[in-house]
This record gives sequence, structure tokens and C-alpha cells, in this order.
Amino acid sequence: MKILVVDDEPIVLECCQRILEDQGHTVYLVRSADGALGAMKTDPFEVLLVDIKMPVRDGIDLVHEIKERWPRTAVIIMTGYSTPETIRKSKSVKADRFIAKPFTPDELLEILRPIISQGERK
Amino acid sequence: MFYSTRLKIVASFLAVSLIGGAVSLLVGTRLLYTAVFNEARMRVSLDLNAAREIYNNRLQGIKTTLSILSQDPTIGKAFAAGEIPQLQARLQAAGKAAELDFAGISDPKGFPISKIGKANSEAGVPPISNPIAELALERKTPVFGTVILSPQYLKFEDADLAARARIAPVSTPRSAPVSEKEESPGMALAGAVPILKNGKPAGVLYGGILLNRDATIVDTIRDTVFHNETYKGRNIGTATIFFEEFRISTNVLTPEGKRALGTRISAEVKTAVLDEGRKWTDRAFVVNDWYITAYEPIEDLRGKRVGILYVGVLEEKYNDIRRGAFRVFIPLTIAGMAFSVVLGLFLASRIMRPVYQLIEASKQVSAGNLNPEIDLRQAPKSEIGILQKTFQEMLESVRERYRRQKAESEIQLLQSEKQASIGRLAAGVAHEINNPLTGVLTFTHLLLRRKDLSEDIRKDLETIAQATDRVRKIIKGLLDFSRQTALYPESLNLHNLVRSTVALVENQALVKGILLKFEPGENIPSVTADSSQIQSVLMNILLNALDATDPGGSVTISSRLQSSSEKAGQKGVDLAVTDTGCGIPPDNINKLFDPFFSTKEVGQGTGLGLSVSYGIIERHGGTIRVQSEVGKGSTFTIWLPIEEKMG
Repeated sequence: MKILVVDDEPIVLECCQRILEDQGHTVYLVRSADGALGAMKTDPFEVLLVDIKMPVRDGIDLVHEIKERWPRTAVIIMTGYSTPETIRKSKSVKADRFIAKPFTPDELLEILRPIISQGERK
Repeated sequence: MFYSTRLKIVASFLAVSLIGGAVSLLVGTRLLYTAVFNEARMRVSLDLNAAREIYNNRLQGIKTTLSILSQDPTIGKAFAAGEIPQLQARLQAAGKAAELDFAGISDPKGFPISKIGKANSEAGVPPISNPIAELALERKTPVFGTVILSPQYLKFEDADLAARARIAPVSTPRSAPVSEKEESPGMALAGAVPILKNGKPAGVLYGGILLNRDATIVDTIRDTVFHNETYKGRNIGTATIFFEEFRISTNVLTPEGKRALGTRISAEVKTAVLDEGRKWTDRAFVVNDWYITAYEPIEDLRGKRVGILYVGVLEEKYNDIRRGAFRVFIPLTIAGMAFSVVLGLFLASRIMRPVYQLIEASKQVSAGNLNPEIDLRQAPKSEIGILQKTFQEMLESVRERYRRQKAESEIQLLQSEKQASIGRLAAGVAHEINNPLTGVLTFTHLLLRRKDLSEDIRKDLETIAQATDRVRKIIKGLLDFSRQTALYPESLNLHNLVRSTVALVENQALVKGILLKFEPGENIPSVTADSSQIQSVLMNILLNALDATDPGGSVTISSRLQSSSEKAGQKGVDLAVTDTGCGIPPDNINKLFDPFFSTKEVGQGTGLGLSVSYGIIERHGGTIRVQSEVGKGSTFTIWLPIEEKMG
């Protein structure tokens, strides 16, 4: 499965790459919202992992656009600032799942599992 | 409408002085007049006695003259010898010296032998009744007194006397009507002495004065008794001799200034004095003026009331005294009223000064100045003084309460600021730490998945994983604490919330051997609150309570309606969690809601629970109160308002 990870923190990108590639997914990493949109235009990804707090343009905004333009792409929002409000905002832009940082590999995979199984059925 | 108290005080002063002034004016002048009038009456009564003395004195003069004449040897010889011309000459000389109007000697049958009056051929044939001579002969002893002489007798005695005696009646207001007469009898002071020869009367010597038109007596009375005093051109004192009801000798004047001869006495006086023989002293209408008068009857020789002796004092003088008193009293009363107004104003401002001061102080207090100036040095020892002191005490307690509230709100503000700044810090830190922490967690767990790890390395890695997990929990707590999120309020049944929360910790209590009870209050209404947040607060407090309580103890949750003690009278619900645990030392109670304050062992708590709870309840517009006694237990009371908008 092709997964795009968007985060301004290299360590988070690296963690996601290691966890997901171990599971045999194709992982692509970008460090900004613009980068994510560019990547999506060249090659629409099936799953997006997006951080909320990023410089220039934040994750909520990005997810909003992605969901408008590529509604079939599953979006998982991850944030180090997990408050009920961020959860509400995530829901409002139709993000599929939500994961609070920090997370263990198992927790991330647990979140991803239903999306992946859904994607494989298609 | 607003009437100032000062005005009221002045008005009552004015009213009192008005009433007092009017009463004293009326009573005073009345008393004064009565006193003056009574005095005048008394005086007039005494004056009448003096007048009577003068009247009698005149009679005494006649008596003396006649007595001397009767002893006169010249007369005796001439009478005995029948020498009429000598007798006549002697009588005329004596009559002139004694100012007698008539005098003479008659024989025992009343036939005149000699008289000083001119002979009158028209007078008729003697003997004509000479009442005084007759009485002397009858009694064979000298007689003196007032006597009424008929017009016929007067004519016989002397034509001039008859003319003098005639006084035409004059009508005046208040006098009884009378018919006019051609002739008038004369009223005389006269005496008669019988001349005895060998014990038998041989003749009678008589003489007297006609009172009609003779002002000698009345003027003597006026001049000696009243000192001829005048008032506004009129004589104050007047005297009159009445024949029956007619003035025959008087110095009471008519408006034209003539002696009021022929005028009559008022009917009431006539009845009292002449008919009933009483002495009369009162005010009476004399001719045409009011006089304070005294009348007494004059009796003739035979004791018959034939006339009246009168003295009177012009009443106008006394009326003027009363008017004068009025003139003095009225300005005095007005001055008194003016004085009372001034006094009233002065007293009112003295009384009202502290009151105005209190009003001013109250205004200042309303405006926020809790230290208004109150001058207690001049505090009167009256209710107003007590009011001032009470006001001062009230101010003191208001100040005390204000200080307490200020201190409390400062603490609360400090608490809020602490929360806010720590919240901001926590949010920043959490976000920054979470990213690297993701790295630590991920790679620790990835390493742990490897099968080729030696046991000690695996143990070390697991320690790292556990420590990192703790870090994660701390960060989670910090984030919870810093949450500045909006609430999602809904109508919330507190009892259901309590029951569901109790259900979550029931097992824990059971395991520890603590009795967990819920005692719901009655009529507890729903509150509007964020259910999950309130539950987390309740949970936090419940867990703390269970931690603090030893096995065998109890934790009780109760609810009741309660007005806020801090938010004046606002209605709300108390939810109290009471444990029988170790209690909280007083030093720690103030720090209880500080972030990161914890008495638990390191790793057992973040020290954020109560702080977070505090923030949540505060955002609901509620409060958390703590009561605790070391060794006995603690009570945490959550108060939530009813019908209160969320902050």
C-alpha cells in the first residue's frame, strides 16, 4: 500500500517510515503541506498520515483540501497536541482516524489496520 | 415630595411658638385686662366711698351751720321778741357764709316766720309742706339728710330755686323712656332744728342746699378723688348725683361738652340700685361712653331711696392699656417666633449635622470609598450618636469583608494566572517533547521486536520503554491541564453521573476494603455541564479519596441544594465527597490546587489532577471547597450553579 507521511519533524518521518516499511508498505515522506500536495498530484496515495502543527500551512487545512480533491484517500491525523478540540477539528475536515503522539509501533499499526483491510478489499 | 428633616424641626418649633404665642397673647391680655379691670373696679368702689364722704361732709357743714345758728343768742332773742328784720338779717348773713341755698324759721305749724329766699306772691298760700321742718317738729329733735322738695315748696321758698331745679329729661341711648314734665322736684341736702320754748316747740330753724344744677359736690369729688386727671381731653373720673333716674348734678359731659343734666341712668343700673337698693360696680354705659362705675343709692330722711350717687372711670383708658399690652405682646410674640425659627434652624442643623455627615459618608461608600470621614468627636449621646457609631462599626465590618474578599479573589486570580501560564508552557513543551518521544518509543519498541537480543539488553530496553511511557503520561496530564477548550454543556442529571462514576471505582474500593456510599439529596435539579469533564473531576476526587483512606474506612458522596457562599445568593448544587482518610495538613490545603503539587510518591501522580479539576469547575462557574482535619478525613465539595451560563 502506498502511504504518504507529512510532518515537519524528521524524527517522526523516520519513525513512520521504519514502522510502515517493516510491514511492507511503500512509504513516501514530505515535510510540508505543499510538498504533500505536489506528491499527491504526481501520484495519488491511498493513505495519508498528516501532522497538524506545521509551519506555513497546517495539517487541518491540508486535510481539508486533500479530502476535497481526493475524497477516496484515507487520512490519519497525528498530533502531539491531542485535545478534544483537535479531535473535533479533525472530524470536521473528515479525517478518517486520529492518533496522538507519541505512539508505539503497535498503536500506529492498530489505527491503520481497518484502513488497510478496507483498501485491500477494493 | 421630599421634606427635609430640618424643615420639619423648624416647622414644629414655629408651630409651638405660634400656638404658645397666640395662647399667651390671648390669656395674657385677658388676664392683664381682668386684673386691670378688677383693680379699676376696686378703685372705683373705694372712690365711691370717698365720694360718699364728700357728700356727707357737705351735709355735716349744713348741720354745723344750723346747730350754731340755733344756739345763736341773737336769733334766740330776735325770735323770742318777734323781731323779724333782725332775724332775717342774721339768717341771711349766716346762709351766705355757709353757702346755703335756702334757710328760714317757721312756726310750729309750718307757717314761715322768716326765710332768706325772696317772697313770691305766686307761690300760693302757706303753710306749704316743708318736709324737713315737719320731721324735726314731729321728732322734736334736729334732723339732717337728703330730702326731696316739691316744685310748689321750692316756688314758695324761692322762685329762683324752682327755676334751678327744673331739669328737662334728655333721651340717651339705653335709658328708659320717660314723659316730659313742666316742673321738677328738687333734691336737697338739708337740716332742721326745732326751737323749744319751755320744752315745747316754738318754731323750727331749717336750711339746706339744692343739689339740682349744683356741681360743687361732684366737682369736689372729681378734683379730690380723681385729681382732675384727664385722658384724651376728657376727665377720667366723673361723679353724678341722681334724683331718681335723672342726673341733676354731674360732671359727665355730653358729646357737645355740656354737663349731661337731665340724662338718665341705664335701665339695668336703675333696677339694681334704685329698685333693689344694691350697690353696683361694673362697667356701665354712661350717657354715651363706657365707664367702670360704682353706684349706690341715696336715701332720704325717711329712709326712702330717692337718688343715686355715682362715680365712674372712663373705660377707654383701660381698653387702651389692653391695646397697649397687645401692641407689646404681638411684637414680643413675633420676636419669639423669629427667635424660635433661628433656634430651630440652629438646633436642626446641630441635630442634622451628623445625619448629613452619615448621608455623605453613605454616598462615599456607595462610590467605593470605604474610609469616609466621620467625625465621632462630636457624637451626641443620643440615638444619632448610636447611629453614627453603628454606622462606623458597619463600615468596619464591610471593610473587613472587602479585605477578605479581595484577598480571596487575589488568591483566585493568582490561581487562574498560574493555571494559564503553566497551561501555555505545558502546551508548548508537550508538543515539542512528543515528537522526539515518538522517536524514542518507536525505536525502543522496534528494537524489542528483535529476536537476537540478549536478556539483559532486553531488560534495559524494557526499562526505557516503561520510563518513556511515564513521560508520555506526564505529558498527557500536562496537556489535560492546559486544555483551554470550550465546554460541551448539556443538561446533566448529577445523580446518574455519580452512579456511573461510582460504578467505575466500585471494584477498586471493594479490593481495598473501603465502604463506598452515595447519599443522594432530594429535589436535585439538572445542571448544565460538560458531562465527561465533570465526570473526570468527580473521578479524580473519588480516586484521591480512596487513596487517602485506609481499609475499613469509608467514602461518602452526598448531594444537596445550596446557595453559593461566594456568589451572593446564587442557587446551586453541592456535591460532597467525604472520606475518613488521613486528612490534609493546613499547610497543604492552600497548595492543593497548584499544578504539580502532590504528596504522593514520585511516579504515583502527576500533581495535576486537582489542578485540572479546579480549572474545569471554574469554567463551569462553580467552585471546589475543601475541609479537612488531619487524622479524621477530608471533604471535597463541588458546587455547580443552576441556570448558569458556562464560562
